Amino acid sequence: MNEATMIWMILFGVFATIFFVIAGIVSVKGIAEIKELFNDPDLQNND
Amino acid sequence: MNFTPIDWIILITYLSVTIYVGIWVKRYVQNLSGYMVAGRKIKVSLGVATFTATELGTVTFVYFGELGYVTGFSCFIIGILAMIAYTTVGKTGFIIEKLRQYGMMTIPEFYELRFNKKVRVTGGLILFVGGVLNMGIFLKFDGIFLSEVMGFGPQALGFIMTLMLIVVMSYTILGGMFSVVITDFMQYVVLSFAMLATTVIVLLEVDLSLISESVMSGFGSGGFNPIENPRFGWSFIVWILVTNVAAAALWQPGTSKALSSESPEVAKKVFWITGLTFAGRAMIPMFWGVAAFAYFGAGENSASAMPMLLGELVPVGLLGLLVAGLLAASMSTYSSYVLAWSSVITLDVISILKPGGFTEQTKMLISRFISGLIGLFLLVFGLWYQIPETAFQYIFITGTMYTAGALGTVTAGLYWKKANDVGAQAALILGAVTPAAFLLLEKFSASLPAWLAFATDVNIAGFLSFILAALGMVAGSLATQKKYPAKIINEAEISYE
Repeated sequence: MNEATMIWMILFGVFATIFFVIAGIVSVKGIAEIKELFNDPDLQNND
Repeated sequence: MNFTPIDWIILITYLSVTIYVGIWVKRYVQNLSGYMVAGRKIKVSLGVATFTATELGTVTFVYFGELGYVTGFSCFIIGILAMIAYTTVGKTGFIIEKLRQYGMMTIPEFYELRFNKKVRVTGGLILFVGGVLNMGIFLKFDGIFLSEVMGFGPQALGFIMTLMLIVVMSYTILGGMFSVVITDFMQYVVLSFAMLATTVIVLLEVDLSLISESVMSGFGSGGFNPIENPRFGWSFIVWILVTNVAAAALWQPGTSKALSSESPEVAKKVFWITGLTFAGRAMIPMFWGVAAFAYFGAGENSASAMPMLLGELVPVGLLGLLVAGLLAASMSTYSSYVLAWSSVITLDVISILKPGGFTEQTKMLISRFISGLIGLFLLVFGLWYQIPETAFQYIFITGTMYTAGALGTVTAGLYWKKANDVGAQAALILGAVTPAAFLLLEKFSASLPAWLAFATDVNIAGFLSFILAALGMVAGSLATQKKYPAKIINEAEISYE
């Protein structure tokens, strides 16, 4: 494996990890936000 | 065929749940802002999920995978540029903060606020045409991807395309933005998991040394250095960076997520957090494409190679989840895009042109009807049109048709007091000219005179459109300042939180 491949694969590892970590956090927190959204008393009167 | 009964069960279960939820949410849609921007109630996590899901369709995997297959690691730069652009827009609030503060539902709505109705109609038409052309190939490439991964072959393409369209249209037309946001969230969760599992499998099955050697022997230094790659170079890099900044702030399907946010602060946060994922979003499917190059060699169809790799490597059960995730990705993209374009043509062109306008309920009806027409267009155009260059470049040039003019118009409208409606019209029209010229002229590139050859270089056409749009805004405004003085927005009258 040459040096350029190694550099790109390190960058790939970093950015892929960021992607999946954010996905995990958002998935968990998003469920609570959906519940809040459906219980919002103003939901049907917005304009 | 790669698909087993287990895969079918997973897929059908997922699709059924999506349709049910998407239609059930319709009960929360009572008015126009509920339909178009989910009542502006979306918080950070839902905002990030829906934004990411919208901008990550199966076609995204196809064109990024294709780029990986034809350029090696060089294309990874695109992900980094997108990340820089989106996080910068998010952190600074460039354009999006003000638009959300003003309570806009579409970008052209701002054109009327700052300039006049004619600019709104021009902007709305260009946005609609560019946007619908942009998504014109989505269905086709989704069909190619799915038929390769599932092992059906090209004969099933038309059937798969039609089925996907029916599923998406059913809940988008009925539920609007609420359906889009909730189903986007579901799709985001499934897709993220499927991407993680698939990436691990590709890393385990395709040797990195083989990848390294294949890229070197196939592309030389151009496989690692984007400046040296003949498809890229400096003009490409500058164009992509500028386009990404413009798209981040102004691409209606994405910007509508900011406009649906609970507040301008939430809008900014959604953007910069989503922006952080944009490098991974590109690099993951690109890596699969590079792996496909190493696995199969150079002889495969560039758009099909990566899906073929997945069809071969991904095991039973996970394949069903992957296809469910990718269908989810497509559906989230279609739903947001169709809603965006139907909203624009309804609110910014049709309603404006009719004296007295329409009631809210009528606007929703028109938007739903237009959504259906767009769906039909996708089917016909996708099966018929032959794209120039790679799918990625087609998508970027059609996007540029709108974003070039919009960037000049909105930026100047928000931050330059002398911007007037003549400058705005010039920016919008000139921004659309070179991409449109590219799409038309490239069909006749063999018979064009030498001096016109630059118009069929996609990178130059894209880059030039931004320059012409900016020149149009500045020259048009300054030359007509006395006859058409600039309009000033009274923020105290229109601020909306």
